[in-house]
Amino acid sequence: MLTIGKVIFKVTDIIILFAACILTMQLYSIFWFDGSQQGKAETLLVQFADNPPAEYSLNEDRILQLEGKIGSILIEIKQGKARFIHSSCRNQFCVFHGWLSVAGDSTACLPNRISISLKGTISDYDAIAGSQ
Amino acid sequence: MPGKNLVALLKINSKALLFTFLVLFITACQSDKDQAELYQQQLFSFGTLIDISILNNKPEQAQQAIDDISSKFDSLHDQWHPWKNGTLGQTNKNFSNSDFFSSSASILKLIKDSTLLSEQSNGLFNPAIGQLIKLWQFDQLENEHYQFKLPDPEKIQALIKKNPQMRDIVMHKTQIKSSNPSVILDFGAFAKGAAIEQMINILEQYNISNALINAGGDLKVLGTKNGKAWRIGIKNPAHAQKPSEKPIIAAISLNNNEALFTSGNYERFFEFQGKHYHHIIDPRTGYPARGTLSVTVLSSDAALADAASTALFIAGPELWPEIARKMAVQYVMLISDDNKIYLSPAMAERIELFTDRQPVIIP
Amino acid sequence: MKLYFTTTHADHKIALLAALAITIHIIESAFPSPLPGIKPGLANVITLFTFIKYGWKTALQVSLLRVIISSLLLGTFLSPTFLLSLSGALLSLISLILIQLPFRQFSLAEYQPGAVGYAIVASISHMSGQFLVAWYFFIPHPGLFKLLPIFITFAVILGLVSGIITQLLINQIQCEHN
Repeated sequence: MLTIGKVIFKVTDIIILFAACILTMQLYSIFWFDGSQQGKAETLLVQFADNPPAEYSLNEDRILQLEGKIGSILIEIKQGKARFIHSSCRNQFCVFHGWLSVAGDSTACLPNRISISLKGTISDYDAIAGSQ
Repeated sequence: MPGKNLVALLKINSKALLFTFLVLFITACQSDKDQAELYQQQLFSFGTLIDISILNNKPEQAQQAIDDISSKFDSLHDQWHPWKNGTLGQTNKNFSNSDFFSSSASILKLIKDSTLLSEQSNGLFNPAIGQLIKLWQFDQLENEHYQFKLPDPEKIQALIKKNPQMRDIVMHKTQIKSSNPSVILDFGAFAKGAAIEQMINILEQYNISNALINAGGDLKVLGTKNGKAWRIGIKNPAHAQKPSEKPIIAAISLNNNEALFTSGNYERFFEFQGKHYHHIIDPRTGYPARGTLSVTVLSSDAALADAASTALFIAGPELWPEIARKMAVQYVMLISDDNKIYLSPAMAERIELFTDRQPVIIP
Repeated sequence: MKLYFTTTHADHKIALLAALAITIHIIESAFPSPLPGIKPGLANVITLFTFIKYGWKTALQVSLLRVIISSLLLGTFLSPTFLLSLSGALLSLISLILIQLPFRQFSLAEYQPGAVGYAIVASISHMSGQFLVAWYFFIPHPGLFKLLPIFITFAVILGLVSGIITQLLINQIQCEHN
């Protein structure tokens, strides 16, 4: 029991206040993602045309070896980011894109028919316009 | 003492229960009573990766619709290819004679629609410059063995002089001919939009009312995503050159039957001797249009959005408001070479920008 | 035939409390608020006080009287404002009852929340109730939810304040009784 001036705060009151603060902070984190904090990316989505997407955790550093339509592809996951480090395509647009670091970021290798994108924990976009 | 622990537990539980109830209630209200399943498939067609998402509770129906759409995309890609042996290819061959000939209903419709759009855009959208586009060989981007070089400036000038225009095509019932033999139709700036409209029709025939078709960044939606409007992030053109820039420059929510099309100088391009040549050719100069990084257009007609995003890209930061007005597109965002963001007033109300830069709003 | 219409002590109590609540509500409504829906909620002090001292049935009557009569006097009866007010009042009272229930069931009366605890709970549910009605009936735009955290923040703070005021009021009344 806490007494400030003439007001008596019981233990239950303090618990309620505490819970209310937590609830409020939860609400901010749920509804208030905006562009500048575009949500921490948790997974890498890799999808080949005519196939379901595959998910890889961004928390595990690794190099993915995949086969695309015209050859081999290497994707690196490191420190929560991902990138193409090698592709058998000629123009290398996918490799030149560099690191995908923020949820929503995406790139693709068209000759190999593969697209990769980062998904975050909170509501991302349903689609990205202006890609490729 | 066990009593006190139990008491503490109960206190926290009843509190937690109430707040959980509140939070659940709040979040539950976001989802519709009937949550539908999301079926997603990625195909490769029309030279790009196409993402189709369907929300309904009938997986076989969704799969069938996707299969239909897939084969339609492939078929249209061939039929509308300017140089292969499909209907457009044949039509283009026939333009070199000066006689009337028949063409398919779908090609006639493309010609009719694009003639109007060409006029409205003061010729900036001009599918009749197929020969000029072929000179630049952007269709060879995927060809591993092709060595890029700049087209011969004299050849470009010659074609500019010949000035093929949509109005050179004369239509009489189902017969057409061209009064200008240099007309070759390349609907690259328009075909994706027209194709997507056909795919939306297929979805509607299957009674699917909530879906999203995204063809390499150009997309159209139906309905909602389980009660929430489809939320689209727009790529930042600057990010392609500088990875330190934000990847997403803006976001917008789309309502039923709205399309969002973007033309950018970072999509299909080649580098030659240090210069960047992209695939949107200005019909006036014969060279890639300068001054714009990207244009995004929102419209309920995907074909219009496609044509408009190209025309406005070519129009550039000075001319775009007038062209947008003539083409009757209300929602436009243009990002110029110097990274300024221009918005139409209607777009300014709907779009959410993720930058401190002040947009220039031009009515 | 004679109709007996006598008033009881309970009626007097309710009438007095309701009158107080209505007066405060009307004075409050004269002040501009930073955002629609953010009110100091001083009228809630009366409802809380009634709930703690006299139980939920009395509090319910006082609350309903306050909402309905205030809206009649202000000319907002059956308007959107009225619906928001009613939904907030009802939900907050329900939440007070729910919070109190386990303490009564398990004879833990001495661990019950004090005025401050009740006030925060009531304030949050009041704001939530208003928000939900606003979302469902007036602005079904998902963007509305961006305002929710702000409203709830204010609810917590105002709840704390009105709880303290209620506690002081109770102390005052105790003193006067003794």
